[in-house]
Formats: sequence, structure tokens, C-alpha cells
Amino acid sequence: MGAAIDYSDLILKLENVNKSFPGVKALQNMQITLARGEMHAVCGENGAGKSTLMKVITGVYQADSGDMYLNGEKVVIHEPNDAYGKGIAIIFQETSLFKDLNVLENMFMGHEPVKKVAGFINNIDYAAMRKKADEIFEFLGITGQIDYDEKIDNLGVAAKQMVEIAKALTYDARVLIFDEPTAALTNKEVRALFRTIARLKEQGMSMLYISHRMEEIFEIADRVTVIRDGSYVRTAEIGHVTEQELISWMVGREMNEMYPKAEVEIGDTVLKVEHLKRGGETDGFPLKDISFEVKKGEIFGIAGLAGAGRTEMAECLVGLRKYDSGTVTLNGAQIHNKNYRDAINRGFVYVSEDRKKYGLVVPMSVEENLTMSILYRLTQNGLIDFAAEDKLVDRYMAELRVKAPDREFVVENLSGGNQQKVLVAKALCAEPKILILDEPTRGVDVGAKSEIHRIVSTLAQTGLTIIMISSDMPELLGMCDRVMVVKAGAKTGELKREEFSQEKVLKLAL
Amino acid sequence: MRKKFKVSYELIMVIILIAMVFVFGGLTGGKFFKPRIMIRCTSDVAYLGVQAMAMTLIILTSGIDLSVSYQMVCSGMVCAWVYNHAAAMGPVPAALLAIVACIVSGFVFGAANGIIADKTPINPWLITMSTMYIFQAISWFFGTSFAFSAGNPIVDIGNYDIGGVVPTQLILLLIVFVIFYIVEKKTTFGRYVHAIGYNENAVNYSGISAGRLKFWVYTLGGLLSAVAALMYMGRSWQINQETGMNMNIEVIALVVLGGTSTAGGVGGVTGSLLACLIIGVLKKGLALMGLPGTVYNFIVGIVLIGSLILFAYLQKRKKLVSRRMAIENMDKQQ
Repeated sequence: MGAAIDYSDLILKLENVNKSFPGVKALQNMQITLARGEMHAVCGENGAGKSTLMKVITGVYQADSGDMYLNGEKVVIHEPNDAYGKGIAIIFQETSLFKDLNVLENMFMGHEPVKKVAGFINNIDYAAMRKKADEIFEFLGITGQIDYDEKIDNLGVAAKQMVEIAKALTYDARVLIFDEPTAALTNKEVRALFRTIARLKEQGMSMLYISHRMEEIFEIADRVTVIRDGSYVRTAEIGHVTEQELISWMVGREMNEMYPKAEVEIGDTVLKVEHLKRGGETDGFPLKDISFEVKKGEIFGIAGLAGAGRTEMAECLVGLRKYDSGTVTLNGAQIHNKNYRDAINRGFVYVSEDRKKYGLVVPMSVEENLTMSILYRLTQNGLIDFAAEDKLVDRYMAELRVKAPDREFVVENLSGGNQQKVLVAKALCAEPKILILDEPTRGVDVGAKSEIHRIVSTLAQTGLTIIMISSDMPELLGMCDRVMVVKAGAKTGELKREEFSQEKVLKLAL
Repeated sequence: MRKKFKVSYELIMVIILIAMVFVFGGLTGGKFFKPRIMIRCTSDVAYLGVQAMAMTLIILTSGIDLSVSYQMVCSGMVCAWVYNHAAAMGPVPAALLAIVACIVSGFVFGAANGIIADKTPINPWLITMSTMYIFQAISWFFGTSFAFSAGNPIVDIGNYDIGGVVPTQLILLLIVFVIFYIVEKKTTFGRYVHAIGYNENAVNYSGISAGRLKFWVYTLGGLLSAVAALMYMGRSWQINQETGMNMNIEVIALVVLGGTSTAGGVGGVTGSLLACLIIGVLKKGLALMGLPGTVYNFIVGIVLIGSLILFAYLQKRKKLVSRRMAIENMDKQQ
């Protein structure tokens, strides 16, 4: 590490920043300071407000209130170009590069050096571009590693990231922000990135680093700021803090409060799936011989990486997708759900992982969403029985404590947690016997998360059979009785609650 | 319940409609105030209004039907062809047969659009643009023009005024409107039509086949085109190949003027009915003032763009209000 950092020499400082979206207070009295030459990590759970904070700093969002100081001077950043002009650049999780243009064109996109040809006709000065690019690549210590003329589309994830960093440097960035840069990298690529980051640090670059990977934060950061539910928790120097402390600041509550698993008497086998297979030619998600069974009152977890085929398997069970062969047995009788309506009538209900895309019609009201899958049960002489509908909706809104002013309230104006509750309530309206929850707490705040877990636990107690697909490992291990692990469309193992550990699940999933 | 007075787009349309009646009344020296004229000015546009009812549902699903006017011409040609070939049976049986043939052909044309919209992911603009040519070609097979004479029940009914005042054209429009109003507001079908326009995936993931719904929406479009063909022939004594020209755009314009968003989801048949009445008054009023057709086109264009600006403004305001409510709702919870 370089020379000691003077934490009173601030390059960037934010104070009392507030930002609201419809239904969400994304940031509340947020603060953060970045010293010159410092590597400052920002960590927090999903939905804690990390990305929103970075977007406020870089002008993608405008804060509702609050002050930002750059080199001690108060600044207002109206749009991303302002941020670039002031030397603040961000490396996004998903790259913002144009995939059909080459490396050089991307690096200088929007501010290409030009030379005058005649009058007001300018030509792009490729020679000047190459010269500047040479300087930047040398600065980064990656001279000759990336071909300037290569199309972005032909580069790997790590190389794209390097181009992003190089692009940021073409703006003479003094503050670099990394938004979970290692999420899509292999171990080797992470090492290369860290070498580049170390080099940047030596050259005096100030950096913010968003991540929730503890080992990375402890390896490269000087200080760390923890945020939770859109609020600042605290800032600490690495070396004066332990991983345990960081986690407890991030979570802000005890584990057993988060995963309230009730004792349930497990009954007979309800659902039995044997040798489920599909080629997956149409959608690229094959299933290779998956078998499992779920008992009454059980919460059966399905773990695996994104794209392992978990969602597709669930959709096969409820008739939203087709499978080639295999048998599904419900209470001893063999069944086949030809379409989702068929499945609903048999008591299968699937709660989608993507509530805005598949789960809810967000511009419509809470009421219209809740009854969407069973509206035909609420008709009289072909017309909707509005009184019956109101009654049913009121009941489920109260039962799940959906916080909306009334049933006419438009779903898109609810917070993520309340939207998710509407989605669960919609499923319960259909009176399921087998409830399949796909990422039931993705993108909801911590409070709503524990509330949803409590609801799931209660449902299991009342004798529902629950299948829970989740990428949130603590959630799976906290809530489930058994967990099946799926990898590339095949079952790689099954664990009982007594044998649960994150390592075992990961080993099977990777 | 907080029941605040809300400025809705429909309300503004009603006010404009009433204002227009008075403006034309003044400009034409009171000629327009005669109940006969006021009621009858709907006759010229009723067949467009009928087509607009089904078009509203189609546009609500974020679809479109460009072939609507050629479905109308084609069903009309079928009707006239059958009538002429069955003339020996006498006017009433021949007319009955012709009406049945007209309705059946309209159903078939609409269903053809519907099947493609259901089974393929092709954009409805392209589907109905293609079928538009096909329907036009089919209508040529039956003939290029037909004229009816008195004694044909279709013409007799189409030009009849009940009690000497209320035209059958208006009655038919109102009957179709009431049916479609109930379908849109009070049935599961209507609810899903709106939902598809907002988010088709979510409808499929609620166990409802969005494809089948779309099939029926386009089929209704064909059916009402056939009804409109009967109304048109009944009113104008004839039908020919030129009839369909630009009429599809006129129907779509009515729906858009009525506040239905081409993005889908937002809107309803009430707005389309009001739009139809506004256009009817505008047409008659300008004609009574003795202004040429080009003036009418100019004014319709102005009215359309004005209504779109107004609609966009109201939508934005509505969004701002509901966002404010959302934030208040959050503050209350904390």
C-alpha cells in the first residue's frame, strides 16, 4: 500500500442526501466522504440504496435534497455529462459500451478529438485518439493487451470492463466509482482487475467501490461505509473492524428474526416428480432427468445459479412451459398440467420471480391485480360481481397487511415490498394447495422480507406445500426443510435441514 | 371516502360537444338548433362509430386493425352480391340472406386477423396491413360497385327515422355502444383487454390465454365491420371500392380522439362514442355553413392534435398526483 491517507483531505463529500421514488424512500439523510487517494468501499444488502447513491453522485438521478462537495466546493450535478466534466466517472455493472463499435471509438465516444479540415468541417483525429489511448493503457499497465480495433462485442467481460475504465480516464477522471465490478468475473480476472485498481491507487486515484463481497472489501479497501434501508449506518477503517461487525451493521437485526421458521408437522407426500426431462431447443433451458418429492407442510427449497433451469422447471410443473417426458403425481394420482389455468384448478400456483414483467400489471389497481387469476370465479350471469370482489380483496389485503390507501391504489406506486405482498396475495386468492415461490423476496426491503418469510411460514403451518426457489442462500437455509440443488438443468443433490451449510450448497451448485 | 371533483378527459369532451352545438347554432343563424338536425347529424358518422367500438378494444390490447375498412367493403360487397343473386326470392328473404352472409363474412375476416394475432408474434400493424390488401382483392372478386334501389329493406331500414325524428343509424350505434360498454366495464373479458394492453405476460401468467382474447377482439372487429357495412349501404344506397379508402384511419382517429392510448391499457369505449358525436357535429356544422371539405379536413387535424396534447397533459397530471399520493402514503406508514 502507498503512503498513509489523510482522511481530512476530502475530494468528495455528500451530506443529508434524500431521494424518494414512488413508493420508496431510497435514500434518507445519506452521507459519505471520500479522501484523496482513498479506496472506499460501500456495502449493504440488496436494495439498501448503494446503486441509488452512486447514481445521485454521477447525476443519473437528482437528489430531492442534500449537498455535495467536490474538493471542498459545493457542486450540483444535473446529468451524467456534468459528472464526467467534473472528473467523476462510474464503471457500471452492465457496461454502457456500444457493442458494434470498436475499442477506440467507445473510449472517446462523445468527445472525440477532431482536426479541422476546412471551414466548419471537422474530421475525427484517429492519430490523436491512438496516442491518448496509448497513454491511458500504459497508465493502467495493460499496454498491448487489448486491440484498439476490436469490436466490443468480441471482447470478454473483463476486457470490456478495462475499456470502461480506460474510457473513464479519457475524461481525466479524479474519482472512479466501481459498481460491483467483480460480479461477472472469474477468479483470475478478479486478480487482474485488482492489480489495475492497485495501480490506479498508486497514481493517487480516489475510488468508491460498491460490493457486498466481504473478502474483497477487506483485501482492497482503506475504509468502508455501511448503509442499510437507504440510511447511513457508519464508516470504519478496515483493520478496525471485523467481518462479523460489518454483517451485523448491514443486516441490523438478528438472524432468527429474519427467518421465522415455525415447527410444522410434516405429512404425507403430496407432489412427486419423476424423471422430468426436456430438450429445451426452443428456449435454451434443457432439463435432464429431475426427480423429487414434496410433503404436506414442507417448505422445499431449490437452489442453483441463475440460468440453471430452476424457473423453467417450475414453469413446466404449472403448464407455462412444456416438458418432453416424466411423470408428475399429485396425491397419488398422475397428472399433467396442459396450461396454467389447468394448474390453478388443480391447486398449483406459481409466483413469478419478476413481479413487474410477469407477476403484476403494475399500472392497474391492487384490486384488479389480486383477482386477476380467479376473476372468472367472481362472476354472476357473465358479469363481474364487484361486491364479492371487494370483499375478497379486503380480506387478503388485511391478512397480508398490504399497505395501500385503498383497493383502487395503483400497484406501481407501492413500495417493492408491498408489491411483492400483492403478488403473494394474488397467489393466495387462487386458494393454492401447492405454492411455488420464485425468488419471493428479490428487491424488497429488509422489513418486508421478514414479513414475507413470516407469511410463508404461516402458510406451511396451515398445511400448504411450498416450493421455494431462491438465490438468497441464507433465506433458503433459514426457511426450508429440504433443499434440492440444480445445476445446468440437472439435479446435483439434496440436503436435509440437519446437513445445511452454505458451502455444501455452493459446491453442488457450481 | 374522499370524493374530489376530477377533471376527466371524458368530461372535457362533453363540454366541448355542447359548446360546439352552440357555436354552430350561432354561426348558422339558429339552423343547427333544430332537434331534427341535431339528432340526424349522427347518421353520417354512426357506421364509423360502430367500427370504433371494436377498434377501441383492439387498441386497448395495444393492437391495431388497419384492415377494418376493407373488411367493411368486402362484407358489403358479399352482402350486395348475395342480394342481387337472390333477388328472385323477393326483397325480404333476399335481404335476410344477404345480411346473414354479410355478418358471416365479417366474422370470417375478423377471425382471420385474430388467428394470426393469436398464433404468431407478428406486430398487428403488419398483420392487418397485409390482410388489408387481401380483403381488398377479395372484394374485387364480388364486384367494384353496387347500387341499391328503394324497396330493398336494407336501404329502407337504414334511412328510416323512428317517429320521424330518431334515425335507426343512431339507435344501432347506441345499442352497439351499450353492449360494448358492458363488455368493457363489467365483464372479465373487458378487464383482461385492458390488462393485455399494459402487460400481456402478466395476463398469461395469471392462467389466461392472452392469445385467445386477442383472437376474439379482432373477430369482434370483423363482426362490427359487417354491421357497419349494412349501416353504410343502408344510408348511402351504394357501396364501391373507393368506400374503404382512408376510412381505417378515420376509425382509428375516432378512437384516439376518444382518449384511448395506442400504447394500450388506457381508455375506453365511452370516449370513442363521444368522439364520434363530436366529429358528427363538426361535419354537419361545417356543411351547414357551406364550407368546403378541405376546411373540414383541416379542422379535424387541428382537433386531433389538440386532443392528443390535452390527453398527454392530463395523463401527466394524473401521474404526478398519484406519485404525490404514493409518497404521502409512505410518510403515513412511518
